[in-house]
Amino acid sequence: MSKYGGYQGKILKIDLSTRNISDYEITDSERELYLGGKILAAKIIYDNIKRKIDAFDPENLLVITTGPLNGLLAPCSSRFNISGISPLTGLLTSSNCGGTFGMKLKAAGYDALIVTGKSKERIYIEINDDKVEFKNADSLWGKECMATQEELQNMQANPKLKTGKIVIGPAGENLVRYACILSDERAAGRGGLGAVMGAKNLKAITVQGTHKIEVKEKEKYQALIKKWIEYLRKHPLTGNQLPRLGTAGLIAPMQAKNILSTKNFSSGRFDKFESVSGEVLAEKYLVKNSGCISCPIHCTRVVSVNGKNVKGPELETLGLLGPNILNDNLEAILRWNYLLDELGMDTISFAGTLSFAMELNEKGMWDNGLEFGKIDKIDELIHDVAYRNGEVAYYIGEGSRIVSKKFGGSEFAGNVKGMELAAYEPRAAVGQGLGYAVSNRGGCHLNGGYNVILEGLGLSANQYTPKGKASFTMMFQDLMEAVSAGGSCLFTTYAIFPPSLIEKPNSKLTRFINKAIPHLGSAVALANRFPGILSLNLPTLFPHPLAISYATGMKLNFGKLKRIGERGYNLERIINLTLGMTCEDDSLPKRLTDERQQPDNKRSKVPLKKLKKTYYRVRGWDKLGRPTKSLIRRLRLPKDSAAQIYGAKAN
Amino acid sequence: MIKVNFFGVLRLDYKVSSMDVECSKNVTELLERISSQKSIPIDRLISCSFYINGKPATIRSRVFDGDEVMVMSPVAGG
Repeated sequence: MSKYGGYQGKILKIDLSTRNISDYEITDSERELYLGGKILAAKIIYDNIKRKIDAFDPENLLVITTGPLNGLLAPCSSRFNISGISPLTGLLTSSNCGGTFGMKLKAAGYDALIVTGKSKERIYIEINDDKVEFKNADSLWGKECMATQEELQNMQANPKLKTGKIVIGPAGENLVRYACILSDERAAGRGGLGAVMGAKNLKAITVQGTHKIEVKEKEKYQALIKKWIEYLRKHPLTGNQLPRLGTAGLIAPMQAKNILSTKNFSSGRFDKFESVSGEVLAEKYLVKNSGCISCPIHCTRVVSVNGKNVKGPELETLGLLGPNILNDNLEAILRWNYLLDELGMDTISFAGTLSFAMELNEKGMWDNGLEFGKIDKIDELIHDVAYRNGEVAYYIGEGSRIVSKKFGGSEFAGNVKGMELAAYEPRAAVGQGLGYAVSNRGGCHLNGGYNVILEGLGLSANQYTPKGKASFTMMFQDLMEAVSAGGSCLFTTYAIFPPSLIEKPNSKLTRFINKAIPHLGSAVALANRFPGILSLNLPTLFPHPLAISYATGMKLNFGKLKRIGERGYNLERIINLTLGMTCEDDSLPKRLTDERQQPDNKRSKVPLKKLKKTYYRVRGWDKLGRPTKSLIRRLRLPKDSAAQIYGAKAN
Repeated sequence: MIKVNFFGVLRLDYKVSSMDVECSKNVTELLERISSQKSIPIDRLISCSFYINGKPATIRSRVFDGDEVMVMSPVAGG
């Protein structure tokens, strides 16, 4: 039980090896410290995995967590999190999903679900409030993601009552290292946790329940939520650009700013970018826009593939299956996006491994038949990767790091810590380059802090200077960590930029701010170090702490929420260090640090050494990238965590 | 002749993806001509970002015959 609203106060633990079902206890103090979502998941993983294990080891955990705002109709709050050890990186991964599973899990009376062990038979789990059943999944095995979900729905006692589901497709069953997990048509895409489900012989989990969730200050909460939704609907990004162009609307500004990864990250521009832009997608293929439950933004593109209305591609998919493989055929990308979802694979990691394989072939390092701009066999390849048919498809299903170990080319293998990079070419957004390098889960734009929003996509601070970037990276990483833990979609944070800054990029004020950003590093570093000076609430621009406070009864503000994010980020770091990660893994492919993107621009490469040094300092980490003992104490991280990373004598 | 390509929600609002414009002065004049030809309020155009032949430009930047100009309404985040 919990004294706080917004929580059900119960976590369910299921051991597939023994079929033991138990309650997993956490205290209200832990809720205050770790909130929920990916941070609470990190705490559970920290407490249960104290040594390096293989992702496919039965001891690996799948930790599915919600946040206090899930199920309370806050905007964009259907998001739930899945964490575990990644088959792609061997480190902690967390993946966020907008499907209905999280809300249904909470309705069943649980804040989180922990799955461990390995089932002898192929099964799925059915949860109805307190009743948990293991069911045979032989008839579902081999089925694609949507068909699996349809069949599971039809098998319910009342098929008309929509149940929450997470499922894997053939790629997860066949242990493709970047297999994803789907809930409805939304994916927990990154990190390969679909393969972890596959390794556990777990095809799906369904959940249904009848519990209500308490809100502590209901009237205040409802009034805030109403205003929050109105603000998001009026904001130029969340109320206009994202609903109308989706994230795909970024293709054009990325091209303009040399940030559009092209030909396996060898350039930031693609001559035919317009063909795969959000504008052409909207003009030629968009059926309608839609969104997750409780989302007023509706960034999802609904498109038609083979006469069927399906979820269209996000920016990352467009960029990486377009310019990054020299492809300008948008219709093909729509089809591949659908296929990858159906087979259960992360589009980013598939595409990143594909472009790397193409370059290896071009350089004569791996004779695989894959060529830049040649797309006629990619449909077939996607199927072959999911089913592990043939050597080429097999290796592509292993991800670019394993491919580089086998065939060479690590200097142009677009991954960090084994996870493929998103579609932003960081040599023209060096702060984003730092973020990629130090991100806890690998080559992720969001976990990396999304500095690119200051460096050209939103504001236009100097793209090439390292100045100030480390402080902003830390600030954004911590805030996004906490927002995600609360249960909100990260897109709600875009509204923190006052509309006038976005709508008037040429105004004196916006130009002044753009110029000032690199010089604000010290001030931001101060706020990072002493978040108490941010003990305020911004009910319009950043209502998250206030909403969580009204829902739970905790007393949060901007600074306190940021501190929770910092705690989470450091705990994830500690877990990774425990799993064998070192500061050497905070790296980028040499192409991005050593080669100029633009021959006439000597600053067009990521000055990573300098950025990392500053970043470690502002984070309060030592030279080896380890949280110092004083930082561990200050953040009230687990007392034994110093010993975990410094050895037994640390305490 | 200047080739102008439009991006962002502006393009959807006015259903214009590209157009050819006679202009030999600067971006301001180019925008005025676009405004009168396509009935797009000049304030809306001035709040856009501009790129001439792929390079960042301002409303004071000169344009020359044969240039390709990108006019992009504000966008962010993904």
